[in-house]
Amino acid sequence: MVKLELYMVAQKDDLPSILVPNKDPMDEMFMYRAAAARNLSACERNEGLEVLLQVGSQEEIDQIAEKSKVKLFPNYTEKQKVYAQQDISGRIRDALKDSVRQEEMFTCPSAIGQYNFILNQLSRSTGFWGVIHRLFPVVFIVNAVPSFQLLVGDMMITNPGYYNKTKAEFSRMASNIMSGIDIAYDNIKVRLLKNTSLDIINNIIKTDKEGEGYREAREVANQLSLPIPVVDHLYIATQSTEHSQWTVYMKAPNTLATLPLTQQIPPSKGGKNVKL
Amino acid sequence: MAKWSKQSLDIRLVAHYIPSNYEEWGHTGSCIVHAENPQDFSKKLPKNVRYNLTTEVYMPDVDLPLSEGELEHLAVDLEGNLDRYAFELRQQEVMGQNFRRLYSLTGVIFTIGVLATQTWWWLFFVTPYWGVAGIGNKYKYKKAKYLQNYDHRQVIEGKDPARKDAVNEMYEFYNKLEGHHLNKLQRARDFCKEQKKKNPAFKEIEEGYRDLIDANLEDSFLLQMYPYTSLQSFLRFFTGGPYGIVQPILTPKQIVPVRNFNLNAKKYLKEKK
Repeated sequence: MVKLELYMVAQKDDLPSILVPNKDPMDEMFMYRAAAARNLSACERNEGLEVLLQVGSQEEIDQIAEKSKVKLFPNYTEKQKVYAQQDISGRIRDALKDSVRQEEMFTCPSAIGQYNFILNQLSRSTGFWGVIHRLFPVVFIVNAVPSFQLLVGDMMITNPGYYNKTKAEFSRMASNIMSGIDIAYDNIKVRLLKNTSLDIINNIIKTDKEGEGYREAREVANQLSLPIPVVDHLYIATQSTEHSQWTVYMKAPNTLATLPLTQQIPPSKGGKNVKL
Repeated sequence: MAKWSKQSLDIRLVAHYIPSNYEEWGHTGSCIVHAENPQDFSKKLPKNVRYNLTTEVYMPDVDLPLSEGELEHLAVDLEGNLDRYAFELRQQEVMGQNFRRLYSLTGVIFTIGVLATQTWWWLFFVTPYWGVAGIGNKYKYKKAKYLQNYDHRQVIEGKDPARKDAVNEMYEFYNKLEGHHLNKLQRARDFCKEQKKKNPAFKEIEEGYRDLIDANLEDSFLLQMYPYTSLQSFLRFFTGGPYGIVQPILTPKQIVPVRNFNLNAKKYLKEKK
C-alpha cells in the first residue's frame, strides 16, 4: 500500500490539534514526480492509501479511540446519522479529499505534461504533415536518385510513428496516475502510531514558556526527525501569534521633516498572544 | 509461469544510525540513517519472482530509542526514494527507448545513403547520433525496473549483535570528537576503516560517512543536471536526444535525517508533569 503521513500537532490551551500532511516541498520544483509515482503505483497495484497518523502520546491515542465510538441520538436527521456513523478514518478521508486530493488532481499531470508539451512542439516538424513540408525539395530529387526513397520513407513513416508511440505511452501513464488518485483516496486505511519526537514538540507548545511555545518548539524541531512541513507549520504559528519578527517593521515611517504627521502609529506591544 | 503464482522472496535493506551534524534546510544539527543506494540495492533483486522487503534499522542503546512512528517515517522516506528513482527512470526510458530504436534505423539509412549518392548536403536531414539517447539510463533501468515487484514492505528494529555493537561503538566514539564538522566526519570514517578488520559491520557505516562527505563537497543538484562545461554539453548533445529532452537520472543517496540522541529529550517530556 502507498503511504501518506499525517502529523497531529497540538495547539495552545485547549484548542483542538491540527493535522499536517507530510509532502515533500521540493517535489513542487521537480514537477510533482514523487506524488505521481505514488499514485501510479496505487493504480497499477490496485491498492489503497495507508494513512500513518503520527500521534504524540498514548493518552491521545486513547482519546481518538473514544471519540471514534458512535453515539446516535433519536433527533438526528438521516444526513446527520451518516456523518455520525463515520469513524475517525472517515473524517480523515473527507479532510484529505478536500485538501490533498484536490491539489494532486491539478498537480500530478504536470509530471508527464512537461514532456508532452515539448513532444507536441517537436511533432510540428517530425509529424506527417510537418515532414511533407520539409521534404518539398527532396520530392524532385527522388525522381533522379532512387535511393532517396529510403530517406523519404524514414522521415514520413518511422519518424512520426515513433513520436506518436511515445506520446501514446505517456498519455496512458498520465491517465493511470489520474485513476490512481481515485483508487488511493477511495480506499483509505488509517494506522495510529506513537511518535516521541512529536510528543516533545506537543509538550513544549502546551507548556508555552514565556508565551513563546511555538518558537522554542521550532528550534528543537530542527534536531528531531520531524519533516519540513511540520517545521514550516511551527514557523507560521510563531509569526502569526507570538513575538514575531514582523514587529521590527511595524515602526513609524521615516517621513520628511516638513510634512506633518497626522496619525501617529503606536509602538508595538510584544508578547500578546493571539489564538490561532 | 506467472510472477504471482511463485513464492515471493524475502529481501532485507539494512539501515544504520550514523551520528553526525547533518545540515540541510529544516534539519540543522540532526543525525542520519543511511542505507544502500537504490542502484546497488536493485542488483540484489530477483528477476521473475516478487519479493517482500524488510527494512532493518540499527540504532545505539539509549534511554529513548526511536518509536514506532519514527521508524515508519524512516521507511516512508527510504521506500519513497526507491519508488521515485524507479519512476523517473521509467519515464525517461519511454522516450529513450523509442528514440534509440528510431534513430538507429536512420543510422542504417544514413550509411546506405552515403554509399549510394556520394553527396553530403542532404546529411543535414537525418540525425543518426541520437541513436544513443539516454544510454546511461538504459543500464540503470535494466536492474531498477524490478524495484516495483514488491508484495509487502515493513520496517523493524535490527537484532544482529555484530551490527548492534558496531553502531554502539561508533556512537561513543563520535561523541568524544571535537572540531569542525567535516573534520569530525573524516576522523569517524578513518575510525571505521580500522575497525572494519575486526568487525565487518563497520563497512556499511563507513559507506555512510563517505556519502555524507560527498554530499558536503560535491556539486549541487542543479549543477549536476545542467551541462556547464564544454565536454558535458558536447556529450549531452548526443545522449540528450532531440533538443535535450532526455535527462540523465542521478542515483540518490539514501540519507534520511533522524532525531539526535544527544538532545536531552527527557527535559521536555518531564515539564508536562
